[in-house]
Order: sequence, then C-alpha cells, then structure tokens
Amino acid sequence: MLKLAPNKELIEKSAQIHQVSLWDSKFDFLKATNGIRPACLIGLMGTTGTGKSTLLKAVIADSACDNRVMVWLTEEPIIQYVAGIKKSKQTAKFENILFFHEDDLADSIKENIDDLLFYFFEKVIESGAKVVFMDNLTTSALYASHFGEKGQSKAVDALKKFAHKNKITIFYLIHTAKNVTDNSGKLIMGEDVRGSNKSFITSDYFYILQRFEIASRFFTFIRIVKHRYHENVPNKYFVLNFIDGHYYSDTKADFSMINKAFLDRNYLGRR
Amino acid sequence: MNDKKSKPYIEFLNANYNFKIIESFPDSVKASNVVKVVYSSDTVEIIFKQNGKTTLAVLGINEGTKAIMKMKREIIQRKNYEKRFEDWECRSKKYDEVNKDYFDIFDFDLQERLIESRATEEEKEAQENFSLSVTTETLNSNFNLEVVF
Repeated sequence: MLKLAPNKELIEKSAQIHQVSLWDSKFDFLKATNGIRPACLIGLMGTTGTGKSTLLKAVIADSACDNRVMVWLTEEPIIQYVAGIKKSKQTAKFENILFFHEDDLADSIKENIDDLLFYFFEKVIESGAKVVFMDNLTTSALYASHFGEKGQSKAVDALKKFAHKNKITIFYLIHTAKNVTDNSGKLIMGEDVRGSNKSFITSDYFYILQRFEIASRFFTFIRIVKHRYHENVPNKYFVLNFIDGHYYSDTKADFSMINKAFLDRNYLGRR
Repeated sequence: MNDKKSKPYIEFLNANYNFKIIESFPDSVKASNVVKVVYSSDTVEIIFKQNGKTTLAVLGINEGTKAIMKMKREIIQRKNYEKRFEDWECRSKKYDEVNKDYFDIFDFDLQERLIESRATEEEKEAQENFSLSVTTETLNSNFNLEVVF
C-alpha cells in the first residue's frame, strides 16, 4: 500500500488552512475568524434575554443562502423560529434549512445518553447539512439533569468527535451559570458557563454576549474569547446593532467602550 | 400507539391492503428483512418480509424509534463497511411537479454519507490508499510510467 508522506504541496496547503472558511458572514465577529469554519465546535454564551437566539437566527438566515443547514431546537417552537429567521432576513432560503425539534423525540431515546447521541448523529448525517445550529444546549435532552455533569461532559466530547470526523460544524447556544449577571461589574468569562465547563474547554471558537447600559442606552457586546485556529484576532470586541427586533450588523469596538460601560452603569445602582 | 387513533387506521389498512398487519415489532426481524420505513407524525410503519410473508408493523413513535435504532446499531456492526447501509435507510421524498405529489427515491448521496460516517478512521485510510494504488497501477500499466510520491 502506498502511503502519502507530507509533500511540499501538502505542507503549503496546511499553511493556508487557517484562512479556510466554510461560509462568509455579514457579521464582523465571524469575519474576524474567517466566517464559520468547517469541522468545528462553536459556542455562543450569554445571560437570559441577551439575544442569543435572535443573533443565531440572523446567522442561520445568512448561512442558509447557499448551503444546507440543520436547526436543532429544544424549546422554541419551529413556527416561531421560522418567523424570527424571516424577520432578520426576508429573503432567507427556507428550502436550505432543516428543522428538528426535541419535542418530536421519543421518550425512550431521551432516557439513555448513548441512544440520544446516536440518534442525533444519524439525523444530522441524514439531513446532509454541513452546519448544525443548536438552540440550545442547556435545555437540550443531552444536558438533562439525570445524566449529571459526567453525562454533559460526555455529550460535548461526542459532539466534538463527531464534528471532526464528519467535517460538520456544530454551532450551539448555552446559558450562563445561575449567579452570573450582565451588570455585575465584571466581564463574563468562558468558565461562567452553566453545567459542565467542558463545553467551553472543548469548543474551537467561543463567543460571549453581554449587555451594558451606556448613557441610558443598552448595548450588546459580543466578545471572541476563544479562537483555536487563529493566533491573532485583530479585534475581539464588537457591538451588535439591533433594530426592529433583530440584529442586522455589528461594528468593531474597543475595550475602552466596555470599560466606559462599567463606569457608567447605574440602572441597577450597583456602583 | 394511541388505541383510539390506531384502531380505525388498522381497520382501514386491513380492508385495503393484502398483507399481515401487526402492532408490535418482533425481535427476530433483522435490518436486512425490512423493505421500507414510513414515518408519520404519530406512527412509525415498518414493512418487512419474514418467512416469505410481507408484514406491516404499525408502531407508536417510542416503539418504532426503538426498533429502528436497534436495526441501525446492527447495521453499523457489519464487518464489511461498504455494506453498512440498507436500502430503507437511504430513501428520501421528492416532489413530482407533474403529478403534484410526493414520491420516494433511493438517495445515493445519503447512502454515501452513511457509509462514510460509519467507517472507522483506519477503514477510511485503507480505502483512500486503495484507490490511490489503483490509480498508480492504471497509470503504470497504461503509460508505462513510474509514479513516485
């Protein structure tokens, strides 16, 4: 049997691999790391009501333009989700989006983590999608309390292995831990994730949404806290522009802006 | 499956189709015996052949999914990785514009995806090397060239 040794071409290719992107995005925070990259585990965390799902809907609408994607829902009904995607992009191509809701899962599957993972992977393979959006992991049956932290950790590991093996990207949303708030006076860190922090540790890319008040106006910042395949990311802070119930773009911000948000915070009187 | 829903449906099937209808899935049925699987909102219907007889099992979502999972696990454990799929797994729905109705087709892309996802890393590598060696041999025999990597 012949075996390929890494020749010159291959070495050159692997040098360029950091530039590889699956899909471009209108959002700068994704552009900064070459869009949605293949075979990655991507996490997006934020407190309740920050707009994680709203942002994800905009990203889905964007991604589904040229490629097939799968949306794995755990809470919000499909019909509501479709309406949300439509709101963020009127021309969203719904023929490229395959929805699956955990309500349709048989109870017998939910009892066993191995069965559940197996079912999830089979559904993804059958869908033919290259990116799976999970809204969200915290409320998913994969994170069910009866599996415990061990089960959660196992689930995340399995998701990561599956993503690598089948070159499928899994983009998941996750809640922050119970005692974490936006205006507590500190930046939310990856370790503030709810449940097992394995999700943060194993993710290839990790983003955090945090909302501040500056001069009586709310601003939602998104921070790139983990970027495995990029040595230098020029800007890690972005402000999301929210209009008429959806995020339509984001602009680069610097840390001084966030710092100012800390100094200006007054609506909860925590200073 | 919900009895209230199932009884009239089973009666309808019995009256219209000429095969045995059961409401539970026998353990003895293997993945290769299954002809077709039909998913609906509250049932999973499995048509299979056993001892030369065609049988239809009308199952609830729970029981149906369990039966399918069991068979899929059986398929994955097959020694020859190119046989790690069944026809009933690789079916998909297409819309017929002329008849304005859906019809079933064998999905070759899905077959490929299933085989690939169910192969181990070693098997994938061996397959890659095999196709590479075939190409090299073809090149050598056709053009009398020596390919050096």
